[in-house]
Amino acid sequence: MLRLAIGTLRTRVGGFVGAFLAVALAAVLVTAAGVMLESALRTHGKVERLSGTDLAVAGSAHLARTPAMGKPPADSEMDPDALRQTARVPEEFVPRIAALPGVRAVVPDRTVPVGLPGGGGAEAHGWDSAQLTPYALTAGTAPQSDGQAVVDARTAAALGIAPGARLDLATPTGTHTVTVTGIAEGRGPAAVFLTPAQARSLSATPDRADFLGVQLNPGADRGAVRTAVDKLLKAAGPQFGDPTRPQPRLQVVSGGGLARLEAPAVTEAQEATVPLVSVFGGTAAFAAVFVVAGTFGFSIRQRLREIGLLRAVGATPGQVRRMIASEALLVALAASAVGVPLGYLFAEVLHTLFDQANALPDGFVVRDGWIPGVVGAGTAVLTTQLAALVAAGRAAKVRPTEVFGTTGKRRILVPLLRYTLGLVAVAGGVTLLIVSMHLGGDDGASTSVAIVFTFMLAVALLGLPLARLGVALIGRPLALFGRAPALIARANGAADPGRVSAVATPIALTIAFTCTILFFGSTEAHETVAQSRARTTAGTLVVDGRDGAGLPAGTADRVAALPGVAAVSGTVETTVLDGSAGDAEEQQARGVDPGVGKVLDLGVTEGDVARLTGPGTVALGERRADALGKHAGDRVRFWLGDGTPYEAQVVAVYANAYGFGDYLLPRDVALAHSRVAAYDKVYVAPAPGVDRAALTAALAHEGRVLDRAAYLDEVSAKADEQAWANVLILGAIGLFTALGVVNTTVMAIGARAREFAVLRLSGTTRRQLFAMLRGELAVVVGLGLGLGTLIAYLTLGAFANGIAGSFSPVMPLGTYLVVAGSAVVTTYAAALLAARAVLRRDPVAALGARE
Amino acid sequence: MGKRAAVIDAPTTDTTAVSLTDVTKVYGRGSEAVHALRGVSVDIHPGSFTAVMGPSGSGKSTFLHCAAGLDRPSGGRVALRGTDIAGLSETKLTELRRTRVGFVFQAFNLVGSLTAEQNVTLPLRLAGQRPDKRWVREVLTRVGLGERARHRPGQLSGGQQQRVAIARALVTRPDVLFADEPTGALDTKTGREVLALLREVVDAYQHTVVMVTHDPVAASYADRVLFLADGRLVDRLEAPTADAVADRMIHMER
Repeated sequence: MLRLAIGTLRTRVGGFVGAFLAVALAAVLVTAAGVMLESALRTHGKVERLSGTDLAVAGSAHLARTPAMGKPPADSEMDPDALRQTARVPEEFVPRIAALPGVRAVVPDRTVPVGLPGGGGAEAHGWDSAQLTPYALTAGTAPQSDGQAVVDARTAAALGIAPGARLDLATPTGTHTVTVTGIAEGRGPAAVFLTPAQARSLSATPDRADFLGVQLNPGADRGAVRTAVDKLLKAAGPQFGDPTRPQPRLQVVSGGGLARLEAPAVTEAQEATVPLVSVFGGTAAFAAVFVVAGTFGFSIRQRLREIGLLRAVGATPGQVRRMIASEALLVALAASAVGVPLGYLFAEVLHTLFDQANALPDGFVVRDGWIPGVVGAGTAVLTTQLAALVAAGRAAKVRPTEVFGTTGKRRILVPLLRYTLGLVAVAGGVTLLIVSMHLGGDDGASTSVAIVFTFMLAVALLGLPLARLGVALIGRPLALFGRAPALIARANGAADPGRVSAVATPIALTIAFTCTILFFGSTEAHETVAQSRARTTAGTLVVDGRDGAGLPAGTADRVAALPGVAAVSGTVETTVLDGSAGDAEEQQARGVDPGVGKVLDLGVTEGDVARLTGPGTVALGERRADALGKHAGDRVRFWLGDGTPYEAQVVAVYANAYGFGDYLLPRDVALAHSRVAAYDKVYVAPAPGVDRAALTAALAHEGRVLDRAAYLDEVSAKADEQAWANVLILGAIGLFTALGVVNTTVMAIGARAREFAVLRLSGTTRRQLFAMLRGELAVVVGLGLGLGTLIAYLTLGAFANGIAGSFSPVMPLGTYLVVAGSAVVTTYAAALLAARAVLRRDPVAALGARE
Repeated sequence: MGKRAAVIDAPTTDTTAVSLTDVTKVYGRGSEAVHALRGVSVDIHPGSFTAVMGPSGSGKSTFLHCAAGLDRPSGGRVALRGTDIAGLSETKLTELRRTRVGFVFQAFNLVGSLTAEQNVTLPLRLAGQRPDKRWVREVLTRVGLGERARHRPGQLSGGQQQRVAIARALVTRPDVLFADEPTGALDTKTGREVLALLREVVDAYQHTVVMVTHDPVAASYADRVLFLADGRLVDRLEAPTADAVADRMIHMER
């Protein structure tokens, strides 16, 4: 069989080039995604500032699991209970841990972001944290009282300051002027050390430290201390609010865990990279299966005669299956041999691309392990075997009598199983659509991809009836022109719907995917801008931190005191988790000042956001409230960003939530349970008739001032920016589907040499032949475009319904025309070039030629 | 004329290469059903050369496919050397066919990527047997292609390709060789040579040949001719001449 497979491959190179390219491309993309994934998973921030720290006590990065919830999923990135923020540690543990044998010192560490003169930023800590590095004084003395500070040597040099100098620090509670008492040398980012008391007073939670750094006595048994601390923490029980509810656990960390505490942003960036490259690899793999299966299936269809012959001379169905599987294996191995090494190279390219887009965490290094290569080759082999299995199932059913071609009685069986599966796929797609219509945000986004996959599966399975329908719908008006070529074109389409669907399917795939991914962003951006516009009025002024830095919490009070300000509210960007533990969903949330309702039009439908005052209050976005079945006055339970259980009364329900947050929390609650210590923006409503220029100038002392138009421009630009990652995915898909289109088109034309010869010998001119082909292509392309656009429209519509409440996807016509035009041009170019090559042969010779 | 099909040959079990008993074949269902065979019974004896004739649509190809085990009858019994094919799975049937039946097609149907010799040994390889080189040589020599074993089909003339196909059909030492219009795609002279070859394998090597044709001259090479019309065996002719066959055909088409 292998020999026969090799023989077939050798003489039918043309038919396998397409499959080979598709498989090789799959191997390249999957290997590259694997390399990126492995690299991302193995990236850890470096331990710098905590180099002198042995152990640390910190909140866990996940809600603790109860025994009933079982083990966490192996892939921790998929854990729905993962926490963005690390819960803070009560200071009462400091003396208790310090009393354990072997422990030399316990430091409650706090990191408060501060702004330095000239726009730079630094981390402020208590001076006791200096020993965690350690920092050593090179000049001056340690801070003795509030208002004194030690500055790290690099920062001092950059600012040109020496002990005795005065330094303005922009802190979350406003600008403080401190006297520099000393300069210290150590490792890590720019640092300012205050007295422990002042650091505590600047932080959002005076009674809780960000984490506790633990140093051991020389020669102490680290393992024993660890066990002792663990025991102590366990005995202390839950530390975060309602002890009956799932919540983070205090735990002892060391090594890589210290890096996470030291630079949470790096870890977060790393974690953000993982789903990105996973989606990239997964999408590439799906498209690969689709295109490879399509190409294989089609090439088998073209060879039914040859397979019938083999059956007639004594090949059993099993042998036919094995022959096809062997061919597939040979193709996969050859493609892997080329694709896997290229994949490692492509990972370097991806690295550069991601890096330029600033999407990679610091310390990210491409690691060329062997696993991605094996996965890439494995994908190639599995994909082709899967495709071969499907194709061979059909081929093995070929009756030996089919070798007699049209004179033989070809059984026309309705492939019941195939159609049943197709209808199941349609039903699945519709179900997902309905689900998606009531989801929003990230869930809606991930469901959308599933919808496209499911519907494409249905298109592939129901290709024949869809092709018949397409021929009937599009072919009829075409044939109305009445010319012979158009008539033949329609007849050809009707006679071989299999060919029509084989070429139309990759076109539909291209359009469905491209449009969904592209217009996903535009739908989302449109809704974000629309709701941002609805929330603001023409007069609204927005103060933003410079260089993306936040605004100190005192900003709102100072702004409120300015003349000509009618109302003001800052917002704090954070997240909450709702749902149930083990299946919690992260939701966007904002901490706000009580006056938010006077500045922003939130479209309040129930209650009053002004009542968003102390702990225990929350306002809910309307769609979220509907999903939860809650109204103003009801009580809701969820978790704050750091995993602390929170129970609150719903004081208001508001409509304009998209791009803002579905949960509004009192500002101090948000600050106490987030890593951020400042407002992301402060919104200002000027009093009527105020001198805007003067007000703007006054606000400019606080930060960057935007009027409504500039603000909306930034919102729109930011929404577009998030789409860049999609471009990579789009590029991968585009390559594949274009390859699929070209493959099937060229194969379909190549197999028709005899037919073209017959037509030419019976008096069809080249021009008429091309006219006929263009007619056929019109049907094929029309069908592909129609199906693809329909799928994209439904998917995007459901998504739009999920986020905006109306089935109105935003599909800019210009972009759509470019996408559709590219697909049309690719198909026509491939087909007409292939036809030219075929027609170059002498028709008489072509007619005489056997396959 | 008008004789009942069943009495053409009394069925005997031991000495038949192929035995068809009241075989029917229906394509399609309901009002669109096509009755290709309406109860055909015939025994083919070893070492005989039988031609099957009939007008277009008389069911001769279906007869051949059913007799050769390429297609399953809708009713009746088909036995190859006493083995009923009805209960066999597709794989078992293929294996049976592989060892007991050779097939020659109108359009030579060689695998283009394999040489003449590889095409000839293909059924053996498919059966998992190691081809006996001497036997393969001999078969190729019998069909007059000893010199061209390493040529690919594309490098051979139509007549030569059909010889390769005959060699392929003979290589498994089948009980019966079925030929479907074997001269249909050949010019007259080459066609005669192929028919002479078929005659020779019967006379010299005691093979059994069943050939469907519409050419009275081709039929005259056979020991006897069976006439099919409208799915029934309607007549037969022993030791036929071309003229006698043509005469019968003209009568039938009236």
